[in-house]
Amino acid sequence: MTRAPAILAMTLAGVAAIGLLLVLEENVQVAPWAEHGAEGRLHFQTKNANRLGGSAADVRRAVARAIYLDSTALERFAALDWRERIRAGIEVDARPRHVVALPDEGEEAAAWALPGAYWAAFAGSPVVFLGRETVPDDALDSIRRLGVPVYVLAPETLVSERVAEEIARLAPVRRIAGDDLAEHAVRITEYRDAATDFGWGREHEDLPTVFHFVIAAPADVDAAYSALPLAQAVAGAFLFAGDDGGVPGPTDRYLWSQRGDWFVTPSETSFRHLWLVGDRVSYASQGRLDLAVEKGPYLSKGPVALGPLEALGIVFLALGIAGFGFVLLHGARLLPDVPPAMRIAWAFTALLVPVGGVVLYLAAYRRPRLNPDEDTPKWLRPPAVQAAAATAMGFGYGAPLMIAIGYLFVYYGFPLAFGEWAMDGAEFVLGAGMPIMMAAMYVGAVLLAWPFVQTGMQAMMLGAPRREVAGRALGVTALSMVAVSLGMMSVGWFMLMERDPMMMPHEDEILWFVSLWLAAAVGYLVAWPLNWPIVRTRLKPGTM
Amino acid sequence: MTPGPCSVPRPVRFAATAPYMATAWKWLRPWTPLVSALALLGGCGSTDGPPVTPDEGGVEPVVTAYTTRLPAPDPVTQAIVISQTVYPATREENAVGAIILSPQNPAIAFTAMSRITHMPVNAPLLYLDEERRIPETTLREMRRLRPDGVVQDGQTQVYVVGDVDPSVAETVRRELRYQVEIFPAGDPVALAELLDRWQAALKSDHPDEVVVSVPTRVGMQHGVGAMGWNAHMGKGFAWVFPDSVPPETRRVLERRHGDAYIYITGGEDVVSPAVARELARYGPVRRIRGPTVFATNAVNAGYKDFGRNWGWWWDEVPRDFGWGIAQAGHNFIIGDANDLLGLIPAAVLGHMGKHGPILLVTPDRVPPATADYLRMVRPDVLTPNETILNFAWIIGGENRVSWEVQRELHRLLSPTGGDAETLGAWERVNQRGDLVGGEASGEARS
Repeated sequence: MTRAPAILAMTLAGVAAIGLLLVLEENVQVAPWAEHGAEGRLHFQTKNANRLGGSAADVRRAVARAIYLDSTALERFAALDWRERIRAGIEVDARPRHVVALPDEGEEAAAWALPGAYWAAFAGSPVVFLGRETVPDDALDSIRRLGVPVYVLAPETLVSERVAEEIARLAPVRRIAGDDLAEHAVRITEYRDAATDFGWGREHEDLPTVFHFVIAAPADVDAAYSALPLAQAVAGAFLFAGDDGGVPGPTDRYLWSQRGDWFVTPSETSFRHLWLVGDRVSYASQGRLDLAVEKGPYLSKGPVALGPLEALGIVFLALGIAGFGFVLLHGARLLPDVPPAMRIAWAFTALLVPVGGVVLYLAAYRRPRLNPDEDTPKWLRPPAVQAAAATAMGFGYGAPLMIAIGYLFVYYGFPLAFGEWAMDGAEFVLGAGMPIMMAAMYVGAVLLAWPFVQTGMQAMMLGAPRREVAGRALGVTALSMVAVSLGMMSVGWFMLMERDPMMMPHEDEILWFVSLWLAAAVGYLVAWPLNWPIVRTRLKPGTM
Repeated sequence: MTPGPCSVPRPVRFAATAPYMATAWKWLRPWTPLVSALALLGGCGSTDGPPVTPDEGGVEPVVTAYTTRLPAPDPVTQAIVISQTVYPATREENAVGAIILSPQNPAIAFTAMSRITHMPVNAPLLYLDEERRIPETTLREMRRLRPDGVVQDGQTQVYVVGDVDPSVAETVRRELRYQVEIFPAGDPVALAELLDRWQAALKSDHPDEVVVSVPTRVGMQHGVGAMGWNAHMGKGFAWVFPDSVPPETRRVLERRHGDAYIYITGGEDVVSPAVARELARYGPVRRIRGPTVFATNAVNAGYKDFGRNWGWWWDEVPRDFGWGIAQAGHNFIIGDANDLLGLIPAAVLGHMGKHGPILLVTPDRVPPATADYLRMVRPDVLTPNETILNFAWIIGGENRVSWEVQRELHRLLSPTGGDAETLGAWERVNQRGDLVGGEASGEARS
């Protein structure tokens, strides 16, 4: 009696653990096929990312053609250094409401100035250049003359606090800077002050908007300045890639948060478009960034990204796993009289009915034992809790079995039949994958739970040999699983087939587990009242 | 205002924490294998990599701020160029579910794209060569795409459609070890019926919205936009002839049990009124039509039919057909009306990424219907956190869509100050070539 349920339980826990580990692996891996995916490519444009590669001169010509429709239009740009390009590329607003202050000294200044330069080029902001410890006279004159707030877009290592204080005597000053280049660019992209008309203000994806972003590695700074006109043409905010070709953490985090979502059709919402400038951004990065801004359905946000339904689902699963552990430990330490098969059934109930399962388990054993002197223990319980315990007895094995069988189906793929016989009526559903899977889940769960668990339970309850109660156990198991299936199958169908316009999530997506977990929880709630007549007719015990 | 210096933590007496550390370690130690395993998993990938430089022998996409041209010398390469645009294949999530392998027969490819591409299959279409064998380049692209398999269909990875020699499937199985399913109907009308049955089993449902087109060149030109909608949303599809409804299509419509919503692509010169009346026996009939193929596809881009299909207030299933795009902020797939073999695989650009409807042009001009539609959806300049722009893919080399047409499309897609005839603020800025470019700017001003 003890060994068979334990073996079954370990198998089920193993399937769930392997499934969840595969989900985890799927979500933490970055670009495992990058090398393979780049092989034999005829070009490197992707659906969400244009690539302007080659030298700075190549980029300049490509940008000129992209914007002015003539690849020679920016030739005069070539001779200018980065400061001159910024000045030449900005049509300054006649009545500016802010001034952009960029760093001027040091080798790093050109890279740190890039995100600010893109903003200024888009907005027509007057730009001043500041030294590390000094303010050039022309900058002071401009700031004094304009008399509008100054945004210092540089860290203190490039424009000191003393310099900021000196400017502050002439105009309000605000410094916006990140700890590293990638974070610096993200901060400028997210920041907005409507009063001074400063900043892109692109914090999240909620608005039906189309945002372009220009991305380059710091070592490709020359190419990045060649692409500066994109700031005007496509309202392109600037973000950094890494010199190693990778995507730095802040850029990665930011672009995933920019992924658009939709309710009914992906055509209803906005999109994001990236311009990858220079050759350094690796193909692995391009694949990741292209995926990061791929639109997803609202509730799940699509592959890899964490949607609201997934976030709630993960909490749901975590509570279930915690409950599973609690019931196993609590039962083993404090309720050794309870038959192990019943403790396992409660543990799986707590797993699939988070919190509620633990509460019902505690309620089932909070009163004294009815028969302390007998071998088959019974507990004093009100009718509702008796029904809950009887439900757990069937559900605790049946529901995880159904999930495990369903998992094997999605892992190996559904059988599908659509021959001529499926032509005219509703009989086509007999060949459809989902109904086949649901039938297999039910039949498989009954056929496994019957010999492994329920026959032993019935034998214990009736004090009779297994052989004599086998037929009765099969009937009881089939009946219990019908009760569970009523709620579980209907919610499972809704979650996998109706809720998601993209249709069923794959076996390595957390939503697959969340859907079946939730379906099982509802299955328990539906089966609970239906188990009371089963207890009343003594088909199942309510006091074990 | 200016951020202050980082706060410096107070000095900690490390020695005093030793007992607590020892206790904590005692509790944590059993978990170290799990943490190590997770760290290993977490460290299993990186985006670092070598610079990207296109190989010789590739194609050169022509990029403008609002358009990207995907050129190719032939249909086989065109399909590969498109599939490479949509699927980077750096991981399972940006690779394909399956691949459609089709002969260069527009009606067969059109049928397959209408019914197979959409989720849950997620498949681009690649072509066989003119002798209906697999070209080496297509085989290489199939290897690159690494299809995940369709869960709902026994993890099938390749669908071969049409009258194709069995050796094609054998080659795929032998060379790539992919799981192949064959839809062997050589007649597009029969293929549509077969795929309708297959889709019904796959989704446990028949989509009630059914596109009806005519399998002639002009019929497909009128229907290519609606085919794009199907690749985007997976609705039903069947063929009719100008003056008759084939029995296979009757069977498709009968399966809807009177609940079909039928969308005919093209006017009465394409599908006769008698056929429309005949189709009306199976459900309400609408026409998506214009006086030219360009107009029909512009109408299709703006067309929306939305309302109750069946169900009740607690679970009403709507009928939902058409892009219904009448404002800015969208993407378009634009190609030569006579380049059906290029346009059909391009519908996958409406299935992923920016999505968006198919519009038609001629090699040397943007027809008025297409231009008028693009003017209607032309974006205005807004604040930087509410930017709305349009974008378009242009399918084919300059023999299909000339550089002049691409430039014209670029202008039609660019933001305006509100009046298409008046240059908007950004256009002024864009054309300010004289400030930075000098002599070349004249062309931009033209």
